[in-house]
Amino acid sequence: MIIETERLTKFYGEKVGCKDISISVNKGEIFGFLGPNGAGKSTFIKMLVGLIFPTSGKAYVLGEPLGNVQARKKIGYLPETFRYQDWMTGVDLLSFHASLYKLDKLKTSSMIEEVLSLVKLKGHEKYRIGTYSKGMQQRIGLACALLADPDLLFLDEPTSALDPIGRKEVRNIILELKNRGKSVLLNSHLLSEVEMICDSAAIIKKGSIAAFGKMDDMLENKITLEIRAENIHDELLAKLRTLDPDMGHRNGKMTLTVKDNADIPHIASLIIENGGKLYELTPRKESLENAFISLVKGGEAQ
Amino acid sequence: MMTIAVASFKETLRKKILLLIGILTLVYLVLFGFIIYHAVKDINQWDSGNNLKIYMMASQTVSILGFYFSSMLVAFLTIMASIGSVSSEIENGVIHSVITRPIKRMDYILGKYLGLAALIILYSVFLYTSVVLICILLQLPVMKMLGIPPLLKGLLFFILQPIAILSLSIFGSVRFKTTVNGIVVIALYILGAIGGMMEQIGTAIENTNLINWGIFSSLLAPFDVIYHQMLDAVFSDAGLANPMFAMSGMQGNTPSQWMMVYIFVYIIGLTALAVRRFEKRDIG
Ligand SMILES: Nc1ncnc2c1ncn2[C@@H]1O[C@H](COP(=O)(O)OP(=O)(O)OP(=O)(O)O)[C@@H](O)[C@H]1O
Ligand SMILES: [Mg+2]
Repeated sequence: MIIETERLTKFYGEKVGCKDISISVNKGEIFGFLGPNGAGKSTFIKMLVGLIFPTSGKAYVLGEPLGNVQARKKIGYLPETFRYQDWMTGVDLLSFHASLYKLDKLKTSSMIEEVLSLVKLKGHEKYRIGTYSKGMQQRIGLACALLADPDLLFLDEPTSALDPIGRKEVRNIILELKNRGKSVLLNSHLLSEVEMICDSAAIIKKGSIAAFGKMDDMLENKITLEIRAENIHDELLAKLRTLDPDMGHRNGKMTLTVKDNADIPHIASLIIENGGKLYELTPRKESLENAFISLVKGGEAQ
Repeated sequence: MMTIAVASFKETLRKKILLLIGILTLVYLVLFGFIIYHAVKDINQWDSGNNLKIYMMASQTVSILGFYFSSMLVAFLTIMASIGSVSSEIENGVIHSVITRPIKRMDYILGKYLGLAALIILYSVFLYTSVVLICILLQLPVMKMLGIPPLLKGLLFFILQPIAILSLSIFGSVRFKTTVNGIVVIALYILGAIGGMMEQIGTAIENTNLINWGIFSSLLAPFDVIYHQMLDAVFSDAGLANPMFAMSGMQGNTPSQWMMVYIFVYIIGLTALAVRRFEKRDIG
């Protein structure tokens, strides 16, 4: 277990930051930590990286209790508010962080080269960070987080300032880290992204866990079928409606939600046996977005 | 710790405020030189029989125009460079990616302290040396009577003052927001100066109340005490009464040994408090 928390709780005075969060992240996993604004995602990450202290509960990161300074050598963190020393150049900043990580001096310059090309900032490293665009600042922040070749990476909305290409690049970097056996805890509002790369996830709402588990398990229990067919008559529609009362039907296109894979061939034969012409039947797993919205719906009235 | 120290040293060097202080320093030194030059010219035209009065006059010029104003300049630099040393990094979020690296929170504070102290010491040495050199080169009479050791001892006290201010200011920077800390530190600095005066006036008019208030403010802000200790170190060996007291015709009541001990406790205590406070503090 690379991260393990037991009822980790943070109160800001009377206000809940996050409450009784118990999760575990396996080594080599990409873990998505999701929730609406103000749910407590950043609060949770800040406790794990040692910026703020829990009100109660326990947590182990890389097998060590919170606050272990040595364990941080193998931890990378990109803060939500990625602000860096304006007056430093890109190289200055990376050297500064290399020396905070106490990296071997001989290796430092090659490491810097490596992360610079990873985040596509080659050619900008001689300029002051104050002159960087927002996206470039987030990129240099990511470079700092990656610098020590960490075993565990905390990314708090790592693509919030990035263009679509940048987002894809970051996805690829994360997947590449996973291939090398690293673990990542990712906090993001871009659910399609999370869905693409995460192995497990937790969704929190008003500070508490609303769902937690393997990504597949979280999405498996609902399947949406997209059907394109002709000759759909009322009798057939009525039969389909018994399977999903909320089904949609427009211009020969239908969308049906079912719970079980076994329903798929049943629906296909139902259409054909009743004289329908079936052109297309595509099962889609429920998107994370839908799962998310149904979970947190009504949860905004804090 | 050294990483933070070097970074905070470099960062302060780049601040605009340093340029301003550089210009102020230059203007001040030129003006000071100009005044000393004319003072020496005047003194040389005087009747040479009245030696003591001349020395008194000259030493007062040095201590007030030279040391008092330059110690104010150093204090100004110290306050400006340090009031936001921790708080501004918390306010803008730069600190998030720094203290989550494998460094102890204590090392962060001590690093900041060290970097700023190095800069302040360099500046103090420069300023003090310049003032003394101007006086020597322009042959101000009193200078010949002062040996090297008292001048060096004076320099130590000259450095001690901004170091004490730095401790206060870093503690405040951990505790308060930058703007609040600025007000607190400047207020205490002024209080220290007023407190010193109150104590002197209290002694002169034999008002215990005033003396006690003076002592109380000197405990909160012992900066003026250090300044007087410096004057004492520089002038008393030469057989001259502490010129600040001589000015108002008072007996010099030089700060006690205990006051010096208190100042060291003050410096170390505030730094320890800053570290402790920072170690427990949420940085959200
Ligand atoms: N320093 C603080 N003082 C008081 N309350 C705070 C503080 N930081 C966060 N909170 C509160 O804690 C709750 C969780 O905040 P947090 O920043 O963790 O949310 P989040 O899930 O990261 O939201 P977002 O998606 O907007 O980044 C919010 O209600 C917020 O108001
Ligand atoms: Mg957040």
